Amino acid sequence: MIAQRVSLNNLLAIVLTAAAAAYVGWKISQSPDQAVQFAFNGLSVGAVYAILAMGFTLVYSTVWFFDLYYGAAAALGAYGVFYLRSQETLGGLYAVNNVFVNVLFAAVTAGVVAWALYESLYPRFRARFSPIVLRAILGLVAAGAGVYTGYVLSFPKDLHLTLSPVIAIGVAVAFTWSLYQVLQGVCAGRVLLGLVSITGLVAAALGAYCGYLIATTPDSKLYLSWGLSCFLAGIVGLAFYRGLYVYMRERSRSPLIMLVASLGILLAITALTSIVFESTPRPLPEALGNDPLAIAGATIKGFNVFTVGVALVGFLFLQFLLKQTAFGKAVRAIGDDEEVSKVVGINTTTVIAVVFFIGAIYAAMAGLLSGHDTAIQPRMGLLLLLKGWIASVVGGIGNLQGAIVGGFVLGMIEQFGIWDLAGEWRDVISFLLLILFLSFWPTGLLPRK
Amino acid sequence: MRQRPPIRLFSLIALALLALLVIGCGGAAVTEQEMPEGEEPPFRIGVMESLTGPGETYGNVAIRAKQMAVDEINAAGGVDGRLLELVVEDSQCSAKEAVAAYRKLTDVDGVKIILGTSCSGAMLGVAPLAEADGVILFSGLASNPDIANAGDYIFRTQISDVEVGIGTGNLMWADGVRKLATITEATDYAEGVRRTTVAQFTKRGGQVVSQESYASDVTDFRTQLSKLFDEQPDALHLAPQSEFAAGVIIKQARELGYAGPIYAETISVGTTALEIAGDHATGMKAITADLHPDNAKAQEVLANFRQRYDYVTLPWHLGSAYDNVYIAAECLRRTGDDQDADGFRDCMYEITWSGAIGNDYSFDADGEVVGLSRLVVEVLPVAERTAENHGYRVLGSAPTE
Repeated sequence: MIAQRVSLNNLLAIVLTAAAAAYVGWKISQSPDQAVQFAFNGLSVGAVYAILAMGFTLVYSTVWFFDLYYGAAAALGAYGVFYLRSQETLGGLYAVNNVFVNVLFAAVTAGVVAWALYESLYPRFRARFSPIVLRAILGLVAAGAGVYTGYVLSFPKDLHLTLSPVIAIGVAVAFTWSLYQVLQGVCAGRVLLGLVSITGLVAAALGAYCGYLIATTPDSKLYLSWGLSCFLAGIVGLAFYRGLYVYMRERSRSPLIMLVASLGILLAITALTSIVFESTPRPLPEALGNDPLAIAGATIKGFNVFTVGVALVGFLFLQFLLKQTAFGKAVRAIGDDEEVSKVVGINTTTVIAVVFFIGAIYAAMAGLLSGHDTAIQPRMGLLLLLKGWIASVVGGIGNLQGAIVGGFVLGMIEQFGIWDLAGEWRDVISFLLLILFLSFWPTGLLPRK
Repeated sequence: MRQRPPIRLFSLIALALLALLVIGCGGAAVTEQEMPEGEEPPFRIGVMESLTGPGETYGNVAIRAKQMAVDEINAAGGVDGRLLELVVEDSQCSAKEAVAAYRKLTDVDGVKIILGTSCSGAMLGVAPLAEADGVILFSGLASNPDIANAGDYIFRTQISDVEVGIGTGNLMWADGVRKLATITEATDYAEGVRRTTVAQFTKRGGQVVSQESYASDVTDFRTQLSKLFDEQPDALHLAPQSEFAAGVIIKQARELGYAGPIYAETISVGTTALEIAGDHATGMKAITADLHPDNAKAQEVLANFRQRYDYVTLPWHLGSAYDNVYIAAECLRRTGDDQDADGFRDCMYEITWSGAIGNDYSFDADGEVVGLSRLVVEVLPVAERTAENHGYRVLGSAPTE
């Protein structure tokens, strides 16, 4: 019985694919230029869908619930860039800087930094310092981080100046850390310490130079705003997990409750976005490569090529993270069985919180790339979320390769599907595709192993 | 026993959200005039404009122009000693919201004369109610042809889109366009522009080779534009409802490599549209209502507006909204009662007015303005756009033949 069902599904897949291929082939022979143009359009939107699907898959396959904040994160990423660069958008016609928004994000950042310090440093230094002193120090650092965030958000005109110290320190620390990892394998003990302290000096110089470069390049503001708004969207995602979902998951086993809670979050953030920025669409400032490139009788913007590049790099990074690192092993273990992971000593709360952070960054990146490509509007979060979800289902939910394949496949089908239909049918086609896959091939093109 | 939920925390969050809401909405509020004691109550006029939504750019210009006119009239002693007061509601460029705003104005505020709305869809949604209730609806901006037949109490100083369509159709034919592609927002105004334009263009012998329409929340037009350009049209005709869509369509059309001419209308040459489109809009032609450079009153209004609000956009809409208040003031002077909608209506049919948008214009039996005409403009390169020329140069009157 089951075997018969499977073969029927396969038959249906073959028939549908053959029909689609025949139709597209016939259309291509009619108008090859148009086909290339559609393929470019499909590649452009497909890259955004792929980024969305990858982040979505990462989060979904770890906690197995449908987190709708993911869509809000996409809108936050895009509106973050608008917020930080609104003086340059539309000649400053709709410039916005709201003290309540700044305070809100400062508070969230302070809370998340406090949590991160408490998780990472508190257990290590607990033995050496008295708890009160330690807590006071960590609290002060967290409050400082909050104040700094509020300060950076209040003066978006000077983003290249206010962010350069942090980038300098970040580069220095990252350089030292990676050298430490390498040297650890080669030598040990005093030699290691000596070598690291020498390279620390080099790292400090390198960091200072990077900071100097950024501080003296005002053009870097747009790209700094990308980083900052992705980071903030990630922080908010983490805060929602650690501050809300954890308790809800402990109390109730039903993913439905989480779904409704995250729906509330999505709607609230969308409404707040409409209040702060008004509900009409807005463009983002000009980013790199807006001139069209003519290739094979069709055109594609340099920015779209860049977006495809981001999708590929994002894929390689996640692939490395999940397959090559201890963190990735923990993530996959939690995705397979959270209870057992907890038993074998994985700090599941922390690992999942970081997963939410990374997932939200992917969403924010997709949101701002889509915003630069076309425009932003408060409702964009829900639309992008649904497209990311469809792409994951098409590719195979819970599989990273499936996510990137699904994103590009969805983009292509959307574009080629409306060749003979009016443009308004695009969303209808995507949702038909979703229903088709959910009914006949719920495991998608590349099923999770 | 279950742990009690932290009610205090929830109330704090709710309070914070409420505070944000109040602050967010604060921007749209318009301060009302305070009435000196012992004087006659002011004349109250309702105003509905799209302060938010797709029509926000022209809605906000209209409301500011009207407030400026009211302040001028009040500063000069009011209407026969009585002050003028505006009661403002946001019609959001949608029929649904406009009906809600209309109900609020008539039921709660009890006004009988309403200036507005900014959008044709909103106007057509409210007009049947106003006609049934005997409430004056007087718009400076709505241009859909169907408004002519909306009723006895419905007036406008905006020129009907029938004129725009005839002008655009003739202009494209005269420029040698024979094969046309159109892209249109699915709204009453934009559809009206497309329908009348296409009717005139095909009457002259032209052919529409492809057409696309889009919903108001669409931001990616590339697929539809690709399909339009695949038919090799001589020109693209653009009929949007929002300046945002206009700017983005022009930009995305050029980014797809389309180099042919683009024809459009008033919204597409608004400041926001041209800002978004940048140099991609250079050379685009539009039929638009514009203030005449020789009209001293028009130039005075623009100068005052710029001094007061530090910007000027959509000058014709601005002047039209401004004139509406003065016409309303004159009719209130004649009737002496802001509840007398019938007297106001009769005054409108009799009046001949000279103001910012033209001299000696009047209203015909349909409540349509008579004696005004539109202009053909061409968008300048970004380097030549200034606040004074609004980004385009006037080529002349729209061709009527």
